[in-house]
Amino acid sequence: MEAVFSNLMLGFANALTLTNIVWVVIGSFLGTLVGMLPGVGPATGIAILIPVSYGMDPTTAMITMCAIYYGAMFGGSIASIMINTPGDASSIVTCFDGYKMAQQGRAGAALATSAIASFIGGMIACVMVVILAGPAASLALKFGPAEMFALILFAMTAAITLAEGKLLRGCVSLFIGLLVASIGIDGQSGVIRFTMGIDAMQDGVDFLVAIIGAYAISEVFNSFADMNVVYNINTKAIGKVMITKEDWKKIWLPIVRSTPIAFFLGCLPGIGGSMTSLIAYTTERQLSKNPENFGKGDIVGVAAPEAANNASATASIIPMLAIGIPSSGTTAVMLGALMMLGVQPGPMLFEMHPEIAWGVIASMFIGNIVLVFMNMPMVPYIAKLLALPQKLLIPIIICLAFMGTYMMNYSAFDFFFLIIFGLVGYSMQKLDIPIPPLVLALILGDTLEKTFRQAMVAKSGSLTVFLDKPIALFFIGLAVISLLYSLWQSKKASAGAAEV
Amino acid sequence: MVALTKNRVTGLVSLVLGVIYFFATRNLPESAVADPIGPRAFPYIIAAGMVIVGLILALKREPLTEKNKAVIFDLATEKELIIDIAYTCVAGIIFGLILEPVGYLISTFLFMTAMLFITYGRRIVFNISIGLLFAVITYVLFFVLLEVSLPRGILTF
Repeated sequence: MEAVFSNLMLGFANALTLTNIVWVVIGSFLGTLVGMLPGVGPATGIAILIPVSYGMDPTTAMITMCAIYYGAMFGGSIASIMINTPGDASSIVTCFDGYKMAQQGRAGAALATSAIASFIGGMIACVMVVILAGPAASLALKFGPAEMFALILFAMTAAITLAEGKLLRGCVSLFIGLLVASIGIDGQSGVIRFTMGIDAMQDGVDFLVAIIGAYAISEVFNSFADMNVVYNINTKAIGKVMITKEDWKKIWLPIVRSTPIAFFLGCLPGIGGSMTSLIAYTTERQLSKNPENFGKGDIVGVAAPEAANNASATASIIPMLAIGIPSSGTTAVMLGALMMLGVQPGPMLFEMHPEIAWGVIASMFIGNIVLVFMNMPMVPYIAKLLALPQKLLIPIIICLAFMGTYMMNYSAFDFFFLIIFGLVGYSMQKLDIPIPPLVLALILGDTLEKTFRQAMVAKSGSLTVFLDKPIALFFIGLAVISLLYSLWQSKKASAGAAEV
Repeated sequence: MVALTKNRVTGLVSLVLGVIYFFATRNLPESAVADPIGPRAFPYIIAAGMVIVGLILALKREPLTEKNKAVIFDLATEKELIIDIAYTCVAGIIFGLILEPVGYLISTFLFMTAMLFITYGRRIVFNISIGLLFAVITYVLFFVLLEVSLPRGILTF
């Protein structure tokens, strides 16, 4: 415990510099702004704001990205409450009661509840991160190639089975990602693979370019359809952004109850904020004395999902930072950005650069505090930005995406990939193919293959190598069970649909 | 007629990509260094996965409904959207071609202005002003404040 405390102090010493605090404030603000845009979630927000982190040292960059993440989530909630259009999937649930509250003239209370619940959920989750991140990294340090392969395999299966309930289409998304990840010079044999003779492809397709394309550009293509929509925001109707004593009595327990479950779900790959907030919402409805009030402007219906949402977002930092495996689209983008800055997240980060790892964890506390104190009084002004025309925002987003892409490798050739992946992402959305498995595969595909080959070499190419390692066997078992369970569920669902 | 459901289209894409990937893998050269597993094993697994999943999805029998109908671009109702996307792609490629020779400031100004023309139509003065403002602000932010190296092109500053 003492070691944890001294590590955390090291983190605070590193995070509490003037530069970092300024970037936390800027990141929170930019994140809130981007998160408010309908359809643009934290993953896209971070993707288009990556250029801001160029030239920063890794700690500051990571701190800024975390601040953007939190900000974007809060921004998403503002959009849910004010215009019934969630900024991203994780704030869909907030629409149910948040928008109803706004219609009843309680927008201020709904926004305050969102900020307070996010703050408490986030802070409790931060404490849990402090306790669990170190042990997670220590455990991951013991992993050899076979265990790592099995863990990544499990992360990937979880992404396709748990994320959206579209198992087979999720598999296709995953395979496309693995296919793209295999392009370029093979690190183990030196063989040039699938470059079609194009020299620029020898280093492979930069996964961040592909991710920015699949998230940001495809979002822009999507939003072309709604670019004439103008939201009328009456900020005077928001009223005082505060809750009453009565409100507090109603919400504190649901907030505290929702957080731990959401935290543990958030650690698992594939379970995004949308699912955790929905679980928190339905649980609270079941526990409520007046479940019929849910969906009609019940303040608990805002508090529980908002706390859960932030807790799971905070939790998702653990696997990304301590093991090097992102558990959501957003942390995948963050991981990619970190790798671009020369930092390899994973257990060694805690050994080699504790100041970065713990600096990030400490900054999450600071980010939460900054957000609640900056955003609550600022909300009426921030909400005004919702009225900014989409016609202006779309070009800005697309320009930032292109600029960010160029600055990554200083290669204008990447624009070609950016557009291709924008079109791929757009088509995937139209065909209801989940994008997170693609992103996960793009980032981890290379490591998956490398660890697979390294593990196999240890036993002269025999698959039994995985049977000899209990941890590997455990994760492979989990992967198989989650696949079978998902198959059984989809069979049941289609049988049910046929009966109807 | 075969119903083009989302599942079937996804399956066909997976199947075609899987087959192409399989043959591309088969044509890969042998590893020159000692490598017992080799550079082909993993791609073969992916190709097999794509073909199997592709076949399952493509052969899935389900009635065509509004919800599962595969429509990426609806030519009848989304003509403007398709044009906007096409223009954006073309503008992006031109941006890539001129960025280094012409420099960041001019090319970004042109790209942003082009994008504004796509979204706002012919509001010439507005589009040009915003395009110019955006290019200058981002140039100052990235080049001057964040010290990110950017191509200057034909301009000397």
